[in-house]
Amino acid sequence: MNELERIKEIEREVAGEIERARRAADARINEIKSREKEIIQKEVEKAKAEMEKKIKDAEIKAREDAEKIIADGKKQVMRIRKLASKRDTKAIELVVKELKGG
Amino acid sequence: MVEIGLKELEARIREDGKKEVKRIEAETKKEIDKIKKNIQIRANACVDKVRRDGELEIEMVRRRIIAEANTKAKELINLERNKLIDRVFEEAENRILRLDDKEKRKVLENLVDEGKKSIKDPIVLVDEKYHSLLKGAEPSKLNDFGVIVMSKDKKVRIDNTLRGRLQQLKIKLKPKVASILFAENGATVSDR
Repeated sequence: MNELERIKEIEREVAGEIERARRAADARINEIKSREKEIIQKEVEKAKAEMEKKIKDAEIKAREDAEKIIADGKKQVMRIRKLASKRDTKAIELVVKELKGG
Repeated sequence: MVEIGLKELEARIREDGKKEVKRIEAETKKEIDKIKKNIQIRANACVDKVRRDGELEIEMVRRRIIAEANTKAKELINLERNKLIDRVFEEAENRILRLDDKEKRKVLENLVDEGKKSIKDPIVLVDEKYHSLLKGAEPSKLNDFGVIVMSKDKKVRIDNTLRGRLQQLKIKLKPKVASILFAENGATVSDR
């Protein structure tokens, strides 16, 4: 092998290495691009799971608050029942008077 | 021109090749970082939307549950108020029906007199059960206490039966009865 051929051989060898490096780079880039949907989907699923838990927690809290509202309503019912029992005689007399006419 | 030896030239070619490979790798890393960053930006946007939708859902769920509870509580209160008001009218009706004959006669006469304010020289109908209490009235099957006062041509008719009057009075007196039963500090108990 003369010197020129030796140099050409080394150049081919180096060009091959560079080509392999380019192909490896393209493969890595394509690999990450192909995983874009998967990566986004994974994050979205995680966020959805978090939100579903938050919604469930909020629903539990709202139902507790709702029970308090209804309990307050029931207390109010008891209160007006008590109030009315003290005053119904007057109300009945008013209606009786009107029913009697004259 | 500088002459270099074969070994040196070989080394330089290999060195240049290594540099190019390193450059490609560095560029690739940069490109991958850029792609990852963009993916993260898009993922963040999607996640933000999921979170915004979730927060809205939380608000809606809460509002719906609280609104239903408020409606139920109001219904309970209104139901009770109406029940108590109805009870007043029922008791008033019972008191009228429990009156003795003398008092019943007086009531019937009052009801006739009221009718006569609108109709001169009327026909007066009274249930057969109470006919003996009211002179001049025609017995009828009213199935109720009270009287019906009507003009001779039967064109004008006033229903002064107990049920008829109760119906009218329920409309007329309901606010007053409610006020007597439930007023607090001078005001009617409000719906909450």
